[in-house]
Amino acid sequence: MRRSFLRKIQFTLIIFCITNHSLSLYADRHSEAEVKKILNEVESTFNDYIESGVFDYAPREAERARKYLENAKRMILQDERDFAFYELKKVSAHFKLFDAKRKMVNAELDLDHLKKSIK
Amino acid sequence: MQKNKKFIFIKTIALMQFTLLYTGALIFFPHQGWTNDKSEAKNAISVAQKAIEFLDKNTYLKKHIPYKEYYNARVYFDTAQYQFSEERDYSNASYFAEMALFEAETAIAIARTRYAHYQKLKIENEYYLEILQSAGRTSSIKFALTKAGFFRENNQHKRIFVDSQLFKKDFSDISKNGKKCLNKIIAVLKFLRKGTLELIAFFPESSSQKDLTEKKLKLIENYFQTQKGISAIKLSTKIVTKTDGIVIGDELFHFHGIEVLLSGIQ
Repeated sequence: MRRSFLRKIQFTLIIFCITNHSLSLYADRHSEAEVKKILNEVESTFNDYIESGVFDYAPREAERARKYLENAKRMILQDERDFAFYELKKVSAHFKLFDAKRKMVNAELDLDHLKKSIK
Repeated sequence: MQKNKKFIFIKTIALMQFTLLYTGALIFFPHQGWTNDKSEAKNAISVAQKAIEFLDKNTYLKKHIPYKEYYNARVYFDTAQYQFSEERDYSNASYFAEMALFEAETAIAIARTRYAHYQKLKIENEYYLEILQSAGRTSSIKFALTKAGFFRENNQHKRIFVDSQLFKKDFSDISKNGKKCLNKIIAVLKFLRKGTLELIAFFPESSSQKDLTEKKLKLIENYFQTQKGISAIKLSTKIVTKTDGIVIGDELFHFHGIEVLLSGIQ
């Protein structure tokens, strides 16, 4: 009887794991405090970029970063801290891109003006 | 007791059969979430690959590619491919592919900046040499106008600045680079006895920064008048909404900026 009871437990566990395959079997590697601290820093830097006009010179990239930030906030509410951490990493990877695009737009505008002025 | 044992045995067999059937179904008809992860990862890898190939195949940008960002893009991309094909960890593959894309885009932006600077220097060297070799006031005015970045449109000399070229990030003051650009315009104005400037601050229709526009215009006006001694008679200002954008490369931008119109050139 004990054997069949154990067998039932095993099968129930298998079915449960298969149907809930997204259930994490390991604890999140990042603490809530750590993720929230990173969120505050990233959000503050992103807001600074918005105020400096990032949607002028990098609209697609800024919109994409905004979506990742919203995803991260949603995942924190769902207690998916690891996923949130990686979404925040994606947002912070955009900051270097914003700086590069700002310089690119300025340089190409200058070149465009020069070409027009010597026509 | 025997009946109970038989019943438990039948139940266990039924459970085993159900598990086998369910597992078999999951193998041949994978869970929707897994399919989404895999297709998302495949798409992300494809997009990243296109960005890296753009860098590899573009003959103009190849000389100007920044090594660090390109190397990072390659490493992320290779990791993404490995995670996808060997580890079958699709969410990791998706993450690394997206990071590869961001690094590749940064590398492209840096390469385009360097290329634009290189082209500008090349054109200026050739053109200025041509102008300086010929004598006369006309040539000197031409030189000053080109140096200041003016171009001719509809019988007017025009120079367009976007905010990032003139102002600091917090719009508290004009940036160092902005002052250099404005000083070149002032040099042209001082050259032309009857020259006048119209400063037109523009913003896109959908802007949420309209309040800043007046402040920016005031900063430039003050710079011209109080710091550089340009008379108020030579300056006029205006604020407009700009509906058409500016095309750079293959992208349309809707900027906030200042248009400078120069009149009085004889």
